[in-house]
Amino acid sequence: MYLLSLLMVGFSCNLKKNSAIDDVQRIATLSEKAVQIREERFNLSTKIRSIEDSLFKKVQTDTFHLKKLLDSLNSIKVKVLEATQLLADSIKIEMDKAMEKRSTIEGYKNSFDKEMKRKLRVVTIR
Amino acid sequence: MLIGILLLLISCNKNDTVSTTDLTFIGLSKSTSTYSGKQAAEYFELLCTFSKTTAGFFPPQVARAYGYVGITGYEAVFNGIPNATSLSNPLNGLGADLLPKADKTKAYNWALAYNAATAEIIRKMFLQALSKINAASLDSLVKSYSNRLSVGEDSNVILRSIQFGKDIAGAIYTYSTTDGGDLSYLDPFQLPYTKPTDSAAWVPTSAIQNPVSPKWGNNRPFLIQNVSTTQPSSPIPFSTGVNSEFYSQALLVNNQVKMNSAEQIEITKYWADDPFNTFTPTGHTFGILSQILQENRASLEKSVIGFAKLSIAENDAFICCWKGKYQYNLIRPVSYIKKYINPAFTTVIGTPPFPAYTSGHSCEMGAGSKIFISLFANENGDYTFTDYSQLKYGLSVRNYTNFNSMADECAKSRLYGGLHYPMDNDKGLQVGRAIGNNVNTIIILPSNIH
Repeated sequence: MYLLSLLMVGFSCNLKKNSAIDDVQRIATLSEKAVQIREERFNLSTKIRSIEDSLFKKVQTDTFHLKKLLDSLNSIKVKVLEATQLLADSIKIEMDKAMEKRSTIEGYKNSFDKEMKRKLRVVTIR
Repeated sequence: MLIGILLLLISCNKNDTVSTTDLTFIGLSKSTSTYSGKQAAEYFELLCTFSKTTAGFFPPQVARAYGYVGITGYEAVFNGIPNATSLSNPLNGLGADLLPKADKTKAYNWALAYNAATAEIIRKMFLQALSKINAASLDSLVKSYSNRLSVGEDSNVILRSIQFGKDIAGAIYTYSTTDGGDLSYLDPFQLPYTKPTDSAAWVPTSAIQNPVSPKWGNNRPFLIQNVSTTQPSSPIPFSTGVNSEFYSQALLVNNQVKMNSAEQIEITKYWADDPFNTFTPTGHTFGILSQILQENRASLEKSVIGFAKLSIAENDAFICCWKGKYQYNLIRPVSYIKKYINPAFTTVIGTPPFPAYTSGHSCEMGAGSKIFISLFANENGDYTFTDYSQLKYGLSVRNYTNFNSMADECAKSRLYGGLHYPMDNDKGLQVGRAIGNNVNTIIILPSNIH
C-alpha cells in the first residue's frame, strides 16, 4: 500500500514535470522565431534611422532614391509588425496556459521555471 | 471643554471627507475580493496593444491613459472592499461631488461594474483615434466578461452595476478633460512651440523635428506633491571644455557604448520599450504588475488597488519628468558626442524625440518600483520573480530578486544604449522613487489583501 502511494506520488510528479517540459518546448520553439523577428525589427529601425538621418542632413543631393528606399522599408515595417503581433499572440496563448498552471498546479512552477532556464536564456539580476 | 468640542468637530469633519466603505452596504453584494483579478489584467493587456498601435500615443500620452483607466477601475469597485475609501479625496481636483454614488440600499455585481467602467474609460481615452480593429477587440472583451459575469445574476443587479460602472467612467472622463492632456494624441507636439537655440539646447535626433509634448509639465497631476516636491535639481552645467564635468558625462556615454558587452546590449533592447520593438515604458511596467498579480492569483480587489496605485504613480511620473525636461531642455548625448567628441558615434537604439534631463524610463520605473515594493515586497524591496512579459516580443527572460535592482537596471540600460547621461538616470530614479513614495504615503488603500 505504502509502495503504491509512493509510486502514485512519483507518477504524478513526473506528469507535472513532463507537462512543464512539453509546455516549455512549445514556448521555446515559438520564442526562437520571435527572437529572429525581433532582430529584424531592431535592424529595420536602425536602417530607417540612418536613412532618415541622411535625408534630414541632406548628406546626398539626390534624395529621390533615399526616399524610395525609406518608403519600401516602411512598408516592410508594417509587415514585420503584423508578423510580430501574430507570433506574440501565439506565445501569449501558450504563456497564459503555463501561467495558469504555474499558479494552480503544485510543483509545476518549479519544473516550468527550471525548464525555462534550461531552454531559454534566463538572466538573474541581484 | 472648548478644546474637546473643537476636536470633536475636526474629527467629524475628517470622517466626512474620508469615510470608508459601509459594511452593511458591502454585505448586500458579493465583495470585490470574491472576483478574479484576471479581468483587470486582460483590460490592461488590451490597453497596451491600443497604445502600441495608435498614432499620437507617445510615452506621456500612454501614461495618462493608463492613469485614468486605473483610477476608474478602482472607483467602480471600491464600495465592495472593506475599509476602502474613494480616491476623490486625495486626487487633485476630483472631489466627491464629481463622482456618482452607489445606492447603498441595493446590491451590485462589482465585477460587472468594473467591466463596464473599464471598457468605457478605455473607449473614451482613445475616442477619435480608436481603430476599428481595436474597437472590435474591446467590444469582444467586454461582451465576453459581461456574459460570463451575468450568469445566475438578478437582471436588476446586472443593469444597475453596468450603469454604475458607465457613470463612474463618464465622471472620471469629465475630470480628465481638464488636466491639460485631453485629446493630446491629436497634437502630441503641442505646436506652436519655439525651440530654444543655445548650445546646450535639445536638437532633433531623428526625422522627428519637434520634441514631444513640451507643455506636458503644466498638466494637472493626480497628486500635487508629485510635482511640487520632487523636481530635480539643475543638471551639471553645460560645457564643451574637455576637463569639464559635463564633458566627462558625455565621454562616459561614448566609452560605454564602445565597450558594451553583449549582455549590456541585450539589457538596452530589453528596456527599449518603444512601441515598434516592444511595448511602451508604462506598458512594460504594467505588464510586470499584471504578471505578478496573476502569479499570486490576485483577486479583483488586490488587482484594482495595485493598478490604481501604479496608474497614479506613472501618470504623475511623466508629468513631473516632462516638467524638468523642458525646464532644462538639455541636449541629448548623441548630439553632443557627435559634435564635440566622436562624429561617428551611434546609439544602440534610437534616441526618442525629447530632451535628456531627466530620463523618463528611470523616473517611471523608479516610481513603479516603489509601488511594487508596497504591494509585494519587504522594505528592502526583496522579491524574486521572473519577468516573462517581453518573451512574446523575442526579448530575453529576466529573473529579479529585488525591485530596486530592477529599477537600477532599467536606468542603466539608457546609459548602455547611449541615450542618456549618467546624471539623467540617477536623478530620474531619485525623482521617480520620491513619486512612488508619495503615492504610497498619500493614497491609503486597504492593505493585507489577496
